[in-house]
Amino acid sequence: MDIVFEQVDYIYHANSPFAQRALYEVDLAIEHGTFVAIVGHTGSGKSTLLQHLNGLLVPTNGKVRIGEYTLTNRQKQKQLKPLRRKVGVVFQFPEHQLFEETVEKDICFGPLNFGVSEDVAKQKAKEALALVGLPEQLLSRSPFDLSGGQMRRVAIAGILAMEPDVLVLDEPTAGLDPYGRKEIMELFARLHRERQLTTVLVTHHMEDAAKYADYVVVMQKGTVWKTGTPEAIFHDIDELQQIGLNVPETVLLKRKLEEKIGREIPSPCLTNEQLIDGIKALFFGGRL
Amino acid sequence: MKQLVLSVENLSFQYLGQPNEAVRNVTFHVYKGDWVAIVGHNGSGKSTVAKLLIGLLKPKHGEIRLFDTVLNEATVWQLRRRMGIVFQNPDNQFVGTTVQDDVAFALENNGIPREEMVERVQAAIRQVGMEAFLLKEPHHLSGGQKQRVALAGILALRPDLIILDEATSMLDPKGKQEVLEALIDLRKKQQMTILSITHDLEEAVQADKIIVMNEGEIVANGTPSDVFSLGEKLAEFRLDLPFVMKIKKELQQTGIPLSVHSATIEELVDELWTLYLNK
Ligand SMILES: Nc1ncnc2c1ncn2[C@@H]1O[C@H](COP(=O)(O)OP(=O)(O)OP(=O)(O)O)[C@@H](O)[C@H]1O
Ligand SMILES: Nc1ncnc2c1ncn2[C@@H]1O[C@H](COP(=O)(O)OP(=O)(O)O)[C@@H](O)[C@H]1O
Ligand SMILES: [Mg+2]
Ligand SMILES: [Mg+2]
Repeated sequence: MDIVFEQVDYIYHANSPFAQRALYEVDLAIEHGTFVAIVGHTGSGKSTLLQHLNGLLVPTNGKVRIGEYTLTNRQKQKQLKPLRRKVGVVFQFPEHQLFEETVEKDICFGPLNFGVSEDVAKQKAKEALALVGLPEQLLSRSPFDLSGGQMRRVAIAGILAMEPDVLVLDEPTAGLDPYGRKEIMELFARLHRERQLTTVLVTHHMEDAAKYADYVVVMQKGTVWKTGTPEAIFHDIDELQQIGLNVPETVLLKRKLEEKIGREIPSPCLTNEQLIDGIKALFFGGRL
Repeated sequence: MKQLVLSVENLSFQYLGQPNEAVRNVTFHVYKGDWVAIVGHNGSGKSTVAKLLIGLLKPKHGEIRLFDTVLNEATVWQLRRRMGIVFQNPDNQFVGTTVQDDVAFALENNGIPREEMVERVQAAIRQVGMEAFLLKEPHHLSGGQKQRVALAGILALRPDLIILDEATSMLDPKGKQEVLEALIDLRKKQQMTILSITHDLEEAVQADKIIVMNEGEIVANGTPSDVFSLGEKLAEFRLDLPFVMKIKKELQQTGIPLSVHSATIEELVDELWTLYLNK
């Protein structure tokens, strides 16, 4: 499912004294099967943009095309059920998406809602829970009695159990411990690879954007400021810092080292491995 | 001797109906003006400790002393006036209907004179970069904006002890650094004490002390360099090394003889440069 935004504006509480413009003139194309990272200052419109991907919000002006669906401000909510099945959204605050009495019921909700039998749903719940690295004993617990990181994993499991074609993730690793963050990011990368899942990730971790994404979209004050490959986006440090962002620390270290010794490291250094190889080559020669 | 702000002795807690204790025999001390980071895997009991410290939960065993007073039903209200906490999800904490009122709320409650209050509230909101949102409803903000407002509440209140429970997890990198600097600045000026629960190792490595929790217990307590030299154990505790230490270790393994001293990117670059010149 290709995703295309055409001149999208979104205004919260439009036509009221509380009107707040969150997006304007957003043009964006996400090709089927790509992994896209969206980065930007707080309040730049990332979460608002994401909520258009499954029709939770519809554009105030302009249109969003997702595969065969077109969302405009004349959209009827009930026509969107099939879209919601295909596009799974993990929200920024997991509490906003958990509501059942038990973890099991919560994870089963999506599959049941889209018509699978109870047995199958329960089986999917078990599998999804294992995927996100939680023990089975948690199935009978109330999702609200979990720690923040556990809730986050349950929310992710609930979406994975729906087996969507498009996975939309709003800061999915906020609140996860350092190992958990790596595990969950590797899980998303694997699902992306193995199931050709189109993946849209909002993150404040530039390292994750650099490591996992095919393309990076930079949002600034409600609109798309720039898109490009991680290498292209993380090339201009000053420019990114001016809008409240940063480059991955690997890139920062590379740049400072290059300035200091006056020699170029011919690698983008988007990951730790690339950085180590680059520095090794400086010291011991060899190909970069 | 530094003054003791918080002492926790043999603290245990078990949630109703749960088979295990969420916090088990926890003992630690925090001194005035210190910045202590608490790290640990998801579900290791960090937030439970925070809730015990402000008297939201009652210990099963053990004792908490704050500012030399034992925390109990009789003292909790008086002690809470000297503490400020920011929780994991700020949504559960907003009380005002506008950003401005919300930040002012605790000050008003503590009887700060109006003029001073207005000044502190405006300054705090400016420090977190939310001056364009004074009259907005806190619930109608983005995730990171909500965290900024919650943090402004603490910056304005200037309590003796600040407890942060993953309070900067949704800030963009620059926003996070700005908030940390505002806190460090306040700490210096006012001898404030900070207890910060965090998964951000780049933040933890800047603290005076790090407490590591694992399955309800404290398994390490020391300076960042103590804690990050735990080696294999770090993985067992689901931790990792901060960026510079990690890169340094990997470079050492390739045969580049780096020392243990450099802790920042700049220091590491300087050291690499020297080695490069002499190679
Ligand atoms: N429910 C709402 N009502 C009114 N305004 C809102 C609402 N939610 C968000 N906004 C506003 O819309 C703008 C964009 O918010 P959005 O949540 O999309 O930002 P974001 O890029 O996801 O930020 P963050 O990184 O902090 O999560 C902000 O100015 C925000 O204050
Ligand atoms: N309200 C609650 N009721 C029952 N168990 C809880 C509740 N809150 C947390 N727990 C459990 O207590 C343990 C510690 O949780 P918590 O202190 O929130 O961890 P952390 O903050 O370190 O992630 C976890 O196993 C969690 O599932
Ligand atoms: Mg957001
Ligand atoms: Mg917690």
